[in-house]
Amino acid sequence: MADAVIGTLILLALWQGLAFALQDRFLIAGPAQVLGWSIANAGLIGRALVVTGSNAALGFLAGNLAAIGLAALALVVPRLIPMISGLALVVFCLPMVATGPILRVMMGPGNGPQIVLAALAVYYTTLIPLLAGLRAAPASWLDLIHVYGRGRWAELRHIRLRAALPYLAAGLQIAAPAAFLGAMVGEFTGAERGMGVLTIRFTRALDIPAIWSLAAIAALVAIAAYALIGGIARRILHEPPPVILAPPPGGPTQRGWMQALAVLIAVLALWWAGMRLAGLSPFFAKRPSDVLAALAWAPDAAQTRGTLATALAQTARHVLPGYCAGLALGAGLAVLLGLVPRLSAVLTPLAVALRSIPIVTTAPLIVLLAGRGAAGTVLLVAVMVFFPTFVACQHGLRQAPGRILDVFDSYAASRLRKLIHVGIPAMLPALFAAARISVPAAVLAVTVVEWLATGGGIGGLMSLSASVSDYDMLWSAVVLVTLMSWLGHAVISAAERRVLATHAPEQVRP
Amino acid sequence: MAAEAGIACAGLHKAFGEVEAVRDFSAHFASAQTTALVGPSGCGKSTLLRLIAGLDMPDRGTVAIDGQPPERLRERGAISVAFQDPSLLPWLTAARNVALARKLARQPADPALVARLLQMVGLGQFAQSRPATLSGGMRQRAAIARALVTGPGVLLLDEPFGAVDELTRRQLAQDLPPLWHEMGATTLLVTHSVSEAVLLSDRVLVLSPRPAQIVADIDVPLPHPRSPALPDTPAFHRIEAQIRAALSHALDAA
Amino acid sequence: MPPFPLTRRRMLQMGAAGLALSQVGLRPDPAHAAETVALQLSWLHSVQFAGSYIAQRNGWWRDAGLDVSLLQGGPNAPVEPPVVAGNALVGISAADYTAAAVAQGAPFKIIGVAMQKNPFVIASLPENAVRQPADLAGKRIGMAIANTPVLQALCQLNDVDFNAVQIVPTQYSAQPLISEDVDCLLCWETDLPVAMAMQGIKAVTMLMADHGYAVHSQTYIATEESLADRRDALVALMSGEVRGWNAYRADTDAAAALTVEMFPDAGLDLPTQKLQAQRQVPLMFSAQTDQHGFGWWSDEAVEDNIRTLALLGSKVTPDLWDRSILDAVHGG
Repeated sequence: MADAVIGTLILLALWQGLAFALQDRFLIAGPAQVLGWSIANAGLIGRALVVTGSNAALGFLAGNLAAIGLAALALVVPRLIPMISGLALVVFCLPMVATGPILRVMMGPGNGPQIVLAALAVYYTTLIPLLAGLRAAPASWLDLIHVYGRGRWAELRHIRLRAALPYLAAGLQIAAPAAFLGAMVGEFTGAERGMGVLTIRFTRALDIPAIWSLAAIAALVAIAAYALIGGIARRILHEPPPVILAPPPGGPTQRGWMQALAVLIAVLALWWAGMRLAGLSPFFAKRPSDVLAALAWAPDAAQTRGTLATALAQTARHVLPGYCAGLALGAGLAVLLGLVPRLSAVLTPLAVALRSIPIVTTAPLIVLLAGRGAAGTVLLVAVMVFFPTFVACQHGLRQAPGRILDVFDSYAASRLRKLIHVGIPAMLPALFAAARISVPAAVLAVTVVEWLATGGGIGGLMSLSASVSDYDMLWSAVVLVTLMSWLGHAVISAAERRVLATHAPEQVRP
Repeated sequence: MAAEAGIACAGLHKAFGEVEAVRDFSAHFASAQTTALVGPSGCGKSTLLRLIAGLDMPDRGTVAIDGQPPERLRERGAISVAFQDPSLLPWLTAARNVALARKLARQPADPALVARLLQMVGLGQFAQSRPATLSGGMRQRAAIARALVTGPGVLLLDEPFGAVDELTRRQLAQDLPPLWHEMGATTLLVTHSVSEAVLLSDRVLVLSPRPAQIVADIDVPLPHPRSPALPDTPAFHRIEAQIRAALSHALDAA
Repeated sequence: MPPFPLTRRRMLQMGAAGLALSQVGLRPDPAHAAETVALQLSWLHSVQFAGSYIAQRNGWWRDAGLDVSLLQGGPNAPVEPPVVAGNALVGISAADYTAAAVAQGAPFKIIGVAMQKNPFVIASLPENAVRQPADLAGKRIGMAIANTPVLQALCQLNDVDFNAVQIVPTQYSAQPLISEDVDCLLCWETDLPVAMAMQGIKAVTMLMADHGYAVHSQTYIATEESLADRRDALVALMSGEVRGWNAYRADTDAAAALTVEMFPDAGLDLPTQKLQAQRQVPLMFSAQTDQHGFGWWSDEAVEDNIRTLALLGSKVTPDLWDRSILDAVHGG
């Protein structure tokens, strides 16, 4: 605890120093300036925080309830699991540039889109651990139920529900900052007030102290929510927090392909029927057939494909290095802290802060600092991927079997040796789980940065298409981005299965 | 029913894929008697216990307890198992873990019985502790208390003292059997420890390496309750020697 | 049509009176229940839309039997979908965006033009100023790549070699100009230069509309369907707008103050809003609007727009503009 305080103080000092050094560049406002601005504008910030916070809270509630409902459905009808997780992934991958305006048209003025986007931002990261948690009970616990002649309901009541709680807590903890981000992005669809509205305003006005204050306050709130949920979980639960190692869904078997096909058909049907039922105008709500036409046989189809390919290639140049750097940084930092535990005083609060600051407030700042070139975007993607990887890998390292470590200790092996032979293999499953869950996060990050700050790549193309009403292009881009996230997820899952089959066979269950 | 009292196994056969765990196992375990199943590690003893508890279905053969299939008795909460892995639920205290068994068996809560059993297995002071704070041996003893709390007609113990030290084991061997005798439980005890088998049971079945088959059926005509000094008596040593001989014969034959 | 002789004090009094009336429950007779319509703004609330706020606050729409809600825009709130979907009766767009939407099949007409002159400027610092298009040659210009056609059109209109201008992609921010990473910025007269002025940095701005770049901005758009079926509502809405903007012109400071007062949570700063309000006036009002009324446009202006839009790659015809609503407003 004292270490964390000292670490935070060191960080604040570094921040203030940097602000002094770059005083004349209109880039950085230091902690003193931020504090001054926040006090002077306490009323404004307070009201915005209440609006965004309550939308985020409602979205958090709705999204997590939806996740719990879907998990319950999966539990009752296990055959639906591939369909539920497949659809959930697709919906989670949908870019907010496309969903925002549609939600606004469907829900009208008010808080609807903010709440829905907050809910969409959280439900997946709760659903996946929950699905894992509900299946995570050891067979011997279930035997106990069966010995007394009790069935699935007793299993659920006495074992599964309770055993899933730590997983739920882990999901909720990740969900808290995500809900705040979702609510802020929702405000971009024309909300009257809130932190997101202020962010746009002050970014436009180049009000550096205000931008930094918003980022700092949003980060504080997100960190507080993260810590609060963690604290409540620790008080209520008595077992150590789990590593979320949901076994990857079906491999490239024939059944896997059939399931993918079923999900695809369901997506197309829901897309088409949803737009029909909501009575959305085909001017901006394009149907699957419109997208197919735009890409395949419209007179300008070749041009559309070319534009998309160029944009996608540009995005790939940002997202791939950022993704890999984020994984490497996350795993690297976890390993480093394993070797030099004292560093965690400074690095852990920094890691939590970096991940908790909503990307919409960091995007303009990082681009301001690192430039509009590749560096800024790559950095932001890396930040988004880094934190879940870091947390998972730290858990993974702690999973190193104690008795094996004792054997190494008995040979007086160095920390480095133990790490290489015991820690890192134990960390692999966690690294893969993080890599898999980070795919949609990386795509979200890169599209948001391109959309809000750099204007390049597929995110920039989507926002440009919306502004010139080229909704065929926008929806084609949406399909492409979703497909890419989904494919990335599938590729990592396949690699994960192969690696875990040798390094952690107990994780790959039939 | 009197004719069929106890546990009757007839022609039990169980394979997991290519691996045969149990082959043509037939035996009768008399009501209210304690029988130890002794055999080398991995011989299929635990599988046999799971078949009798009805947790796994045999490929061939039948199990009848007092003339009925195990499922019937399970529904009445008349079977208890203490697994090799104590499998206590980590979020419940020792006392609540024990009490859970009564709830699962649809029996009324009985805090006094729970407390008495925990006292008896030496966990009186740890009733409110969670499993994570207990040692391996303490967890196993809690699991035994849990198995006993329903007053089962059939008690199946799978290596229940694996993690218990020698001294405590002798103490438990003195305290526990009277308890299950008092309940009239038909007890099956799986172990690879010959002395434990003799100390606790009325009869020892020596099993061959996998697939499990009976190679010797040895009576233990020692009076109950058994004193902690019993393992140092010649009668005890004689029976032990008899079992060891049967075991090594079985191993040689394999 | 002379602008309203409206002082700030009088306007606020009227606003207060309107408020008082609604508080005592003097609602319109249910028999003449107000028709509910929405006006979709193109960006966040600010003095950019102050004419509408004045009309709203003074109850000019309510008196005409119209209950108008002003829907704020934002970076993820395109104007065209709510207008097509009927969520908004009228949207604030611009001739180039409207033309693009029409090309994609949206049945829009421009029924009023708030910004006669396009607000795009080239902003630079005095020591390295861009005062006319020829000065652009050899300069580094910070702008969004998406605006490349705009710069191309300006160069073509003024015989400047487009390839002699170096485009630096930047965020929409004055920071690259201040730190001299670029020599000039492509931006709006009413935002980045105002922000710079508020920070004490004086910028030189060259209004592109003064150099042939004719694209109507802040245009009122409605669907053909509304023009056919909801004419009365459109006329009522536009008369309120006309009245509001005339009041705005009479006292821009009062308009800025009203804006800040009405949207206390928008993070608006009164001095900035006042300056922006002043800078908007020359873009919105001219001898022509003095003669024909706010929102009006000439046939020559339409011709100029068609020419500039063609340079931007949009083919439009004069019937994109429909003056019938304004005629009804100014005629009646």
